[in-house]
Amino acid sequence: MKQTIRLGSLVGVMALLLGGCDKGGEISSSVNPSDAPETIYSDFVDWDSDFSFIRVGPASGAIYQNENPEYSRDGTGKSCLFRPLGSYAKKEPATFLFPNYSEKYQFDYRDYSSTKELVFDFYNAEEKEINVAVGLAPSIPTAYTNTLTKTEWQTLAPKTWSTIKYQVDQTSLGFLFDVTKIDGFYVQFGNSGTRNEEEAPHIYLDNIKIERYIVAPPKGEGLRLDPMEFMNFEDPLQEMAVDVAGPADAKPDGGIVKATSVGLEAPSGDYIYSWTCHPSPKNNGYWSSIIFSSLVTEASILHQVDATLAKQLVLNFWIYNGTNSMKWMEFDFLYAEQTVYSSLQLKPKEWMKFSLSMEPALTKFENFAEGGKLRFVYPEYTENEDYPFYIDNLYFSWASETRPGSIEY
Amino acid sequence: MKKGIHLLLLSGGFLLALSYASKPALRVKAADSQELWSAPFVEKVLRSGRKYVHGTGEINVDAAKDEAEAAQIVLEPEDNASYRVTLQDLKRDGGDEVYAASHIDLYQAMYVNVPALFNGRVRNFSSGYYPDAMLPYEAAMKKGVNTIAKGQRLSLYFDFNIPFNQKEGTYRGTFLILLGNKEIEVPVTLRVRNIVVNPDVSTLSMFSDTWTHCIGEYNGSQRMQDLYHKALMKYRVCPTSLVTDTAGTDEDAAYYAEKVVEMYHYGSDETVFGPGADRFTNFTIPVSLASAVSYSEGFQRYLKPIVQVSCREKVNLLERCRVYCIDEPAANGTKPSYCATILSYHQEALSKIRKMIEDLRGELKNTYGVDDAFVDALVASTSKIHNVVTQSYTKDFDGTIDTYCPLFDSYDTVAMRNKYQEINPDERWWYGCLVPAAPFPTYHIDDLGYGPRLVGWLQNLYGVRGNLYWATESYAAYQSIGGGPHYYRYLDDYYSTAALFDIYPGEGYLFRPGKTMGVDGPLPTIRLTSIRDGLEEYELMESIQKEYRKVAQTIGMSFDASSSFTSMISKMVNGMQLGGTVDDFVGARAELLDLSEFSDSGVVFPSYSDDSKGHLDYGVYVPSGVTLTVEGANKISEESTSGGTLYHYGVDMTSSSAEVATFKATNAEGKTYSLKRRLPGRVVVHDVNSQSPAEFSGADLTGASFTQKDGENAVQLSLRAVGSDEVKRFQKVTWKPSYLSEFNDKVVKAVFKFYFDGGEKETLPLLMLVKYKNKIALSQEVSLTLKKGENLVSWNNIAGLDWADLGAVEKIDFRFADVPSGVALPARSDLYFMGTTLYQG
Repeated sequence: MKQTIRLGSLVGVMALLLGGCDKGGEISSSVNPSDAPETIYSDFVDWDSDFSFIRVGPASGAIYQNENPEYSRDGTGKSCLFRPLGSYAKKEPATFLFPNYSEKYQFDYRDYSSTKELVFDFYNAEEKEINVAVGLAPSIPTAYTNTLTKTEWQTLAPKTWSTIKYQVDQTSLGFLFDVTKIDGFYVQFGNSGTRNEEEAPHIYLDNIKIERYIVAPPKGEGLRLDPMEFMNFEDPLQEMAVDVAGPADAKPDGGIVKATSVGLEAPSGDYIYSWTCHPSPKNNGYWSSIIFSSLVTEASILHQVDATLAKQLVLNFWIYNGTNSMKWMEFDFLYAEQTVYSSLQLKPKEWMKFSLSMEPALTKFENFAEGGKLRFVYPEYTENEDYPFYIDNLYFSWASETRPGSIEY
Repeated sequence: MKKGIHLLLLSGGFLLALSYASKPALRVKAADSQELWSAPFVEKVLRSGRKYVHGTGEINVDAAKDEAEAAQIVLEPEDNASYRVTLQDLKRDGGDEVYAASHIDLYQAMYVNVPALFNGRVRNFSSGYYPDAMLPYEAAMKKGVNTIAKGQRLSLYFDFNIPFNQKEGTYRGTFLILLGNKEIEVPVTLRVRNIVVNPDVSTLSMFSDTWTHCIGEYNGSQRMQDLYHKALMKYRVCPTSLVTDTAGTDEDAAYYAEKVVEMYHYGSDETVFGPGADRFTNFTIPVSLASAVSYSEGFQRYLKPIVQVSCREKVNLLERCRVYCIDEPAANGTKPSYCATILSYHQEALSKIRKMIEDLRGELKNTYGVDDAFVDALVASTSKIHNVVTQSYTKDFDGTIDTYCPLFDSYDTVAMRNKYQEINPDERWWYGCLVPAAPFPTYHIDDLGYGPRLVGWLQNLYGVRGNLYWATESYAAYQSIGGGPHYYRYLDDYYSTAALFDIYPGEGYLFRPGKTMGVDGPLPTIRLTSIRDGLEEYELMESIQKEYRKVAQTIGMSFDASSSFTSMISKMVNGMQLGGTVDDFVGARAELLDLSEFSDSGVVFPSYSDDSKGHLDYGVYVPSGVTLTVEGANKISEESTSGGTLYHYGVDMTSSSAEVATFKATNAEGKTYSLKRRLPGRVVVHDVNSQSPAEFSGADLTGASFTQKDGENAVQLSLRAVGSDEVKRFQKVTWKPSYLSEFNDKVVKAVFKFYFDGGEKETLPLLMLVKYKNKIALSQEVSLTLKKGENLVSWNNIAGLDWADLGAVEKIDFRFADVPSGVALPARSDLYFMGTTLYQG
């Protein structure tokens, strides 16, 4: 049941809210739930009002209403049972989305200005540990697309209740998103390695709570780019705009590092993006990649000039191949799962600059400036060594100033 | 705590639910109740509003063996009420046999608001809450939604499944419906015919179930996917892709092949579908279009394990494989040259598959114990792996497409039907998507209840074996917000929106999710049930066709049952345009069952003609030893032929008001067969004469002259050019014939004959709008596209209009062309009007 505010220890501030208090120490919310110090997002008692808006993705598994009191933490005798799978073919995690807004069920928790944390009570009924990640889904524009905050795995110990929290950092959240319009949040479980629901783990969830600050913390300044910048990695928050993907058993590492910390000199500034690919134990048919959020595209000059002018832009970037041999890498202009791709030949131990005209991508994808992404892809491999790559200073220039397709060393 | 339900099994009966009434119920007979009435299943009874003819409250079902056929009871209580149903076994007249109530699936309607009509305008439907999803009775009880508000209706659907071994005859009994505090006795009559629906499904289908059922079912597992596959087979159609969680690896392909086997076994499971069932008629495999090599490698990767499991199971599953990888190329801007490239990939891949099987021959024989003949059959069956492309034929695509799958309306003319038969003689497909709209068939909610059934009938009549539908479970709303681009968006409620895909009510789903209603798996809709019924009727027609062809071969003639079928559907079908009434459909369905039984007598109808002037001609072949008596038609000729006599019986509908012509055949053993052929109703013909040009007027008309066209009297219409600076988008002609008053509640259908003498590829949109006396605005009654040559423009269901509300017809406007404003229209004089035929039902 939603929109219930518990008094907890926040007695001092409750005078403001006591107008609707009833006997049980709980009050029915007659105030904006986004202002309350704690909101029970769901206690999973009623299917229609507690479950029916949860979004289960393809191959993600299933949810059920549990009515066995043994797996209920709050005394209602009910909870949510997950049978998570995740794509067997792509080894992806199982993802379940929880919207922050429902017209039918009349809740609106989208304003995260004061939200301190999301709190989940999980019970892992398996004999082994289970990985879970919780985070925000700041943007759920369609039923097929969404933007999730970085996956950070936590562990659910077997046969016990675990309280899992997601701490909201308004500063970093506000770097990329409007903190007053966060569309939802997510729960992910590690891939179960099976297509069969019968073989999926049993994980119970009771009581999702939204905890709030009394006084809203300062918001982040938002993503600001220099006029021709796409991403130069000098601001550590930029790391949030880069998503790293790969096979579950060989997921690459990615993050902003100081160039000198890895013995390099940055082509510009001090910081670079480090991307290390790992060998796969077996061929999954799933390559490693780093993807730059479409929000960066939308904050760049690409989105600020008209389409004709944008076609005269050239994207430039530097890559350093940290391995000892020549490597081939794919670079994609990615839009709605379609690509305009380039093949990058990377000499070992050298910074190389690539310049790519925007015209092909903008011709194929008319709306690339809204929703388009940049992606670097490295093929799956099984050789027993890590492949480090470094990327720096993605920026635009005008075609009249740059020779598209050129490579500098 | 929710209310529980109690199930009791009574001896000799099957009680579905126990009454909770606190005081003794008042027992009444259905015929005496004002709160319960019956209607044919194909009547879409809105939750409120709109008036209907109330049936007497009896359930009457007439069905073949191995067929499912539903009946409808409508509850309309005087006050808020809940209901419960008690089913009981039915007993056969003159015998001890029973029809067990456990063979009945009982559902209640779920209603969805259709605020804006899409097809319903053509059908003269109303906006309002339409029945669509069918909620199983047990689920309705458990969910506590077995309630009806005062002023509203609730339809119950009794879906009778007739076992293959049910003895023919008439079964009777009584069902009890507790409505509020009244227990209503509903008399039930089930007639089981001595005919069987072929359990081995003859048709092919691709009904995709890989969209977004995971959202509505809260379950994205293969198990749920399989439940959808199986549900489709229950309704006699097949899914497309069986597994979507795949990366195209060898392991994925092996898994896919095992899924093919699993679905084959399910579709032929006797305990589910009865003996001889084979419902898994076809499946698709994923292909890569990147290059000839990747296409061919993918083909081999997926088909090799399918060859292997075919050998293991001793069933040729390879021949059930189809490919569907190019979607609407013309509409999507895909060039014919690309289609040609993919066709070449496909042909090359098939060639490699044949070689692969040959290379595997020894291994297959040794490992699985199959013989050379089996392997030969596998090789030969590769020719059936058609690449189906959703595209209508145009010269641009000549030679670039393996198997055309045009929209329903592409089969509207004889010329195009012949064209598709010429291009794809072995296997033809068609489909409906957002369009065509009424009067062509649609699977939309605001359209005829029997429309989806007639698709099955027309598949048989026009030799179209395959039917494709793009999405049966798209549970996201494809909508624009604020005029922006369309996106699929999540729903707050999976049951309350009819037009999930843009403006089309019911488009993109033939199921609704079961989970929230307490059902593990999808809920059917009355549209999907009608599709099933139409495919069962396809099988009855196919059995009749076989009988007719057998007789034709025996007596050395060339005919099939097509002309008989044309007669049977004449009140409802004109090419691919549908009309008629629910009663017309019910009559035609009875005639189909009669025709099926009647063909056992050996008497067949080699020919039928209607000259569109009211003259009908039935050709009847009567084998020696069989006597024929006919009422309602006159013998025109009689001719001895091989093994019997060929008669012609005629009916002049311009002078007869007979509703049926009855044919009775008695064989040498004295067994009598009876067939009532429904007649189209009294026909009034208004030919064109020298006075006719004066009936046409309008600012766009530059001339109307009496002439001859194609050997008939005609009015040649000359229309002025419309400049690009004009706002007009069409050329309009107003028509006020002397017989305008004859368009009234006595007329079932009016057919206008036009001749369009345009270019070979030219088409011309036509809208027919009617000005009624009591209405300020004109009503659009017909919308279609004229093609070169003779065009019959059918205004259907005229009698079904609310004439008290509309008043008489004052004038009719024909609007030709449909271009954006600012586009010029040339002057033209290539249109001819050639007369009107009125069918008075």
